[in-house]
Amino acid sequence: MILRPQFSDFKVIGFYLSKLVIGVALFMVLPMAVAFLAKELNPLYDFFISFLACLILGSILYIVCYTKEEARWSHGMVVVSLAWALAAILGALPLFLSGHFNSFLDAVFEAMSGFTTSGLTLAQDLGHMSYAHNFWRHLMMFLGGQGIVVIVLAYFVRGATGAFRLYVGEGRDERLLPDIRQTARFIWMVSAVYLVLGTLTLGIILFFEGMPFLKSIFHGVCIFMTGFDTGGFAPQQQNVMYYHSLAFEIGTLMVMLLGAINFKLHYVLWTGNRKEIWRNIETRTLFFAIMFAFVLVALGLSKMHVYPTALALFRKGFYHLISAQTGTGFQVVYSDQFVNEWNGLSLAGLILAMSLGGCICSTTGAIKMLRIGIITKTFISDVKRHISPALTVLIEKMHHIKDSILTDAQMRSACLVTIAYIVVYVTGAVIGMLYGYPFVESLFESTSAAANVGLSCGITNPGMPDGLKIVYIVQMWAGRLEFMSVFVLIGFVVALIKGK
Amino acid sequence: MFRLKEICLGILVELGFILLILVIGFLIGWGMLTFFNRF
Repeated sequence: MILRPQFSDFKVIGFYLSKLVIGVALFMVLPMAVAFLAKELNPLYDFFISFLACLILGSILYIVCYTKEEARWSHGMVVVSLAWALAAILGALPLFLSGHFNSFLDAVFEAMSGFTTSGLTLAQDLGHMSYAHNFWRHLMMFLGGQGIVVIVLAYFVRGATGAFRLYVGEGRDERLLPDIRQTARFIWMVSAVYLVLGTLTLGIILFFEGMPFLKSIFHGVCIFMTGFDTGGFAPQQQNVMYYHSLAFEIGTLMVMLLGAINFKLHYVLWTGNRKEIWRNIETRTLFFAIMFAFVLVALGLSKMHVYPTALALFRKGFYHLISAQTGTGFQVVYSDQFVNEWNGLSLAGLILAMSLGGCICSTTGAIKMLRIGIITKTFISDVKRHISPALTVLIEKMHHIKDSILTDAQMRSACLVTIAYIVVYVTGAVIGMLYGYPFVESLFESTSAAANVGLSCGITNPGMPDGLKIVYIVQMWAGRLEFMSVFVLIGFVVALIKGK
Repeated sequence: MFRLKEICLGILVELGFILLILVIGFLIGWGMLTFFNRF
């Protein structure tokens, strides 16, 4: 029997959501400060209006839904899935007011792409967008990469149990420190340390490439935020290709890979256990996955002689491979070039990299390396079982921070999530084909959306059908949350309709 | 809990791992191009 949710359930959900809405409002103060410093009056009004709207909505929710009850598992999951959808709608307000988007749907697409760190963009005339709006696009990615709910956890949530349930709902199931709020703060500390180092490095490179100092720092901070959080937005329409700099490309490659590393691994490395980077199943799988996918990409590109030198192949082929594998989506070629210059094999390498993703508990999306490592071990274990004598007991071990025995539950969970991702990639591709796009392009764009990558072969543009925009919005949302929260939300709605 | 020296060494290890990926990636590309240019 399905139980219908009670009024108290809605109060708990509304109460936690109110904190998120107020959090979004508070973060809008930062682009307002940028608008003030850059003397951009109209953007300042846009953000003030959006700030007020969020603050009023958050306050009403807080007062109406105030409760001392802690969130249960189902509450946590429903709050997280609604929180991300609500954040995208609220984050779209100032973007829509900027006039750089055809419709509110386009602005929501951009905000969802930002918060989920996807990087697909429908913005028009980015070169003339105000500093404040551009900063907000990048800030959304930074907040999304950290996990917007993690932010709420770190500073607004009282009970540790309820906090942990929200944390898990957001697709992060690894606890770095005993207290989940300390975990959230550690994630912020890592990001803050790298934010300073990365911004300085990228800013200095751009300054020596000839950009004015303040502009180079602005571009440095924007590109760092979207690179480390594996998002892929850039302040210019041509993305990273705008800079035409080898040093900058190497800098962004390093930032992207840093973002794809598990926060737990950062923690272990920063506390003295430095051998972990060579022993961990995730980093090993990441290393081999990158090399395998790049062999496919390089084979395709070399066979067709698309790039004549090793450096050109590195700057175009390897760069996009890392951009795809880490789920960032920085581009150094035009979208059309993927279709016109790259052949099927090299695109297959990119699609494979996009679908696999980076490490678990990092800022990347997609299936993730721990699951791929577990599935590979499961496969090897099954082969061993078949060739061993009948009574042999086989125990498969893995090393992820500590040695552990692979359990059936872990294997089943890894396989289920992987299957769910593959179904979503293929479903998006089929819908793309229904709209008339070719198979490879549809699969490329669908995988890019669901795996929160952001590389585009040209389908994503302001003129694409509205239906496909909605499909990609849902894919980005579900992909970022790793499905479980979305399934629980669907279950909650079903219980509301059919429950007793 | 965190000491500056440990953090710096941790960051260096991470950067070293990333540099290794970049170097091997470059070598794979160079090897492929050389092979297809020759044969």
